[in-house]
Amino acid sequence: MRTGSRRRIGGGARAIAVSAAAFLRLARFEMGRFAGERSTWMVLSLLGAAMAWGAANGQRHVNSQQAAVARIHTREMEAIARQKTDVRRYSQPSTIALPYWQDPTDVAGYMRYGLTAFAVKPPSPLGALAIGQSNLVPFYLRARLDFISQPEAAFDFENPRALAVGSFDLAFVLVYLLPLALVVLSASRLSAERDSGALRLIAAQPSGARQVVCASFGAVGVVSVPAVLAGTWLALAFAGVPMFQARLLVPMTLVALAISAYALFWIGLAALIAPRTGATASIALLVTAWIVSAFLISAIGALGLDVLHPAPSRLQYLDALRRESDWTDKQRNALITSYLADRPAYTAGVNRIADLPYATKQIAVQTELERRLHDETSRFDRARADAGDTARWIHLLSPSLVLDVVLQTAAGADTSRQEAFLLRAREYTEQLRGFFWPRALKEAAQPTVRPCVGCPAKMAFLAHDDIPKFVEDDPVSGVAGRLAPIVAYLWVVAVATIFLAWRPREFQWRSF
Amino acid sequence: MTGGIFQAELRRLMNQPRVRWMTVAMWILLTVVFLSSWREAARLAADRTAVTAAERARWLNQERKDPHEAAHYGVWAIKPSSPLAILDPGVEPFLGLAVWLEAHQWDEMMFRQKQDADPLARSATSVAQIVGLLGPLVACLLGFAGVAEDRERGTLRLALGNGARPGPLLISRGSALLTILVATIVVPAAVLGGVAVLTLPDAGWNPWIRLAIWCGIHAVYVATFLLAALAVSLRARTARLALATLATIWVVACFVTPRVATNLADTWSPLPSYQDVRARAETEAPVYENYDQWEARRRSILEKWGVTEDADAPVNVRGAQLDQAERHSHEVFDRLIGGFHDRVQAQDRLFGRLGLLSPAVALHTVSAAVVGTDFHQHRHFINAAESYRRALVNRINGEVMRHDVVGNERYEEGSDFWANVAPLAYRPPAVAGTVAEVAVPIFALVAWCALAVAGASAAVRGLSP
Repeated sequence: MRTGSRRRIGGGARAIAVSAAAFLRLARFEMGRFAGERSTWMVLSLLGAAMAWGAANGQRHVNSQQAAVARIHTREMEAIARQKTDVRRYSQPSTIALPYWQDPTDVAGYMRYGLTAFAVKPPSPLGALAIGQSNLVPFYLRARLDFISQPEAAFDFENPRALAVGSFDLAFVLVYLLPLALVVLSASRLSAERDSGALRLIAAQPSGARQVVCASFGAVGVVSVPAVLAGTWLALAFAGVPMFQARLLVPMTLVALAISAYALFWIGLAALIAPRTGATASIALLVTAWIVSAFLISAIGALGLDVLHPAPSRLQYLDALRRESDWTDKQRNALITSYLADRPAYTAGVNRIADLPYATKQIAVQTELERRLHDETSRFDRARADAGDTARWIHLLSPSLVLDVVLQTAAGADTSRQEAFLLRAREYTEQLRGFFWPRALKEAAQPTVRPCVGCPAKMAFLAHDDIPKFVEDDPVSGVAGRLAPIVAYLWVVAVATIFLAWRPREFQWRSF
Repeated sequence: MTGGIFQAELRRLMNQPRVRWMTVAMWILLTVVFLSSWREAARLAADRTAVTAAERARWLNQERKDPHEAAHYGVWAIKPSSPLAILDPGVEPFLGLAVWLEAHQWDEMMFRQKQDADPLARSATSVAQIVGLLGPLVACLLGFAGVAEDRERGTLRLALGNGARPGPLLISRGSALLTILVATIVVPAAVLGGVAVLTLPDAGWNPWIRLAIWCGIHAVYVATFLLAALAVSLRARTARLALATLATIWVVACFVTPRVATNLADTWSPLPSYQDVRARAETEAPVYENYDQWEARRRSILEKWGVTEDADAPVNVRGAQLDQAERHSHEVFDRLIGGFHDRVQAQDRLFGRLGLLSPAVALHTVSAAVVGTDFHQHRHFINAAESYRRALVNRINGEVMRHDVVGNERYEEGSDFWANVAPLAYRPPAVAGTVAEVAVPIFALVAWCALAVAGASAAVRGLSP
């Protein structure tokens, strides 16, 4: 029933002045009441337990990736050690007839059949924050000189059902469950009082509406936000994340700021909705807001990406690859002849085409194949880049997606780091080509005279220790710079929401 | 009398604007998602047909060459999708589209759609996800609106006070709600599934039977949540408490538990590192064997034939070496890669059993299995492709073995030989076997539904208006 007796609070002559001391008393009372409720600590404890489990799952993933990286390095070292043993063995006179593809001292044979080198993206020490895309995209690529290391050819099996369902990691808890916990804690604040009629009594007190709302929802923020931050820190520390490392201080501070802004956004949203509706409508509206923020925007965004930037057909690419490979394979001798003829240092090789090994001829074949497929491969790069640009804007529509990006970036599982890794993997392949191809071409033009008569080894390549190694990136480097603007944006959203809940001149007691 | 009440309840519900809006919104949502998926599925089906034909032509049109070169040239096999994958893509976007069948190697399926796409595209939804996630929400909202609000307003008390018996009244109301729910969720999904079956290649998937089963299990699934919503709404002291409880049930059952079950399955039935499995396979069966391994094969072959020189052997020794190495690799691949796939399936079965934790977990397993997009059926294809590869390479090696050559002579084959190699003819697994594979989660779904029926019945019996 409306009585028509509305009192506008929040400035102006009609505002009821409440002293700071009275407001502090009210705030202390609300905080004490909120902190004293068993349900508050039950919800926060459940959230803490979920955080601990999520962080443990994330760290387990990090540990498994670290173990995989360690195995890769061991494999590289063992391969080199084995090959050097073979070099010593085949450098002694023997009756063994060693084909070039088994000879670790034949540069052409080695670069195609013996090279064991990987480009690796190590997990971040903060990887437990979010698994993100790191269980889907490749984090190591074997370098093969016959083709630029293509991510689509890399495959590290994770149970696809688990990929489809998603992981229970800390990011899941913070992005999806934290808002629900805050909704549970705040959806019925003042709305329940509205249902029971107690709001009229509150309105009759000297405290203004803004002060009551501020004290009521401020109590949620003052208790919940530090609890969530402490829970996150403890969950990560117990999971085994080196939280005391100085270099992690800035990224972790930014993550803490992002989590705080995100929590304040949801508390602000509850403050905006709950006092203005009944408890049932408040719960329904806040859960709807959660569905929109957590699912609907991302689902619609994904549909939009599909329509605006459809990925080119991989099967058509495969068809083009086979077609062009057929052509280059048929032209193998012509291609290598032309390749050598165009390079004065290796022109002498033109006269030895029939004697050149398949692996050497592949230098020319691969160069031509990549030239012919350039437009096809560029289409994929372009589509991915365009989709990425649009996705960045779509993310801004949902605070949940923004926090997800923050956590993935801090965890080193974000798109930009992956793109950088793929680029560096390509550069590494080029670096290896720069190391091997001139040697193989020189061998084609001026074959090494076997220094040891009767030895199986050709002894044309002995620089196994000089093979370039992939330089891994520092997962933490540059993260703070990438995080800062996103965190700032999240704060803008949170402050704007709180401002809307505050709404000077408009906020008033209603529906008495 | 019950029929009359049912009709009255149905009319009343259909006249409610929010029910109409909810129904229309779901239809639009399902249709938009379906059309988006259909566009991609139709393009993929056309590409698959064209590239498969082109691959076959390439195989047939090879020039004369050493058959072993042809084994290295190989052929690409492209996985035929079920037309119902459009409803529930299951694991397919996370696995490859095509596999190269070549000598010496059991290659991976390549071109994973989700790997190609922007991470945001991982949020892309499907008809099954909408039904699985929003279906229960709609059921909860309908159940809440159908009973809890009536209780809050006092209209339920009024009806019971006028002599209506709680049982028939609530059965009629529940039936009307279920009718609305099925019309909102299951019927449009069935129609869209039918469109998919009619417009996309069948490829031997028995899609109509699969669609019927799929619709049936989804009807059971949403009915479970509706009955749970009725039970909660009848029991809860206030509408607010009913809504909060239903929201909690929805979030926990449909959203949290599937991820929890995934992690539990991974913890209780962990997979070894695939990178390690592949590295071991490469060590035990290298694509390019070193001198010692290759020479050991030569000696064992000569020993088998009781000769000391290649020329004295009744077979082409190089062919025999290739054949021996190939067959050795089969044993290694079966043990290591096949063993890994066994572990994946064991983990999936455990996940299915965890359907006892939530109907959403059970549905996730059953839905993908029924439409043909779970790992079990993916494995059926990769095994079929691998069997084809082995038969092809074994046959080629057999030919090389039978044709002895001297010195620098080359044994070559031509178009007749290529034409004699039949293309891969893949038949998807039978529906009965597929359903048997997910018997436990189907049982879990039915058990959840029975539990919801019992809960709703108990709530009706204890009704206090």
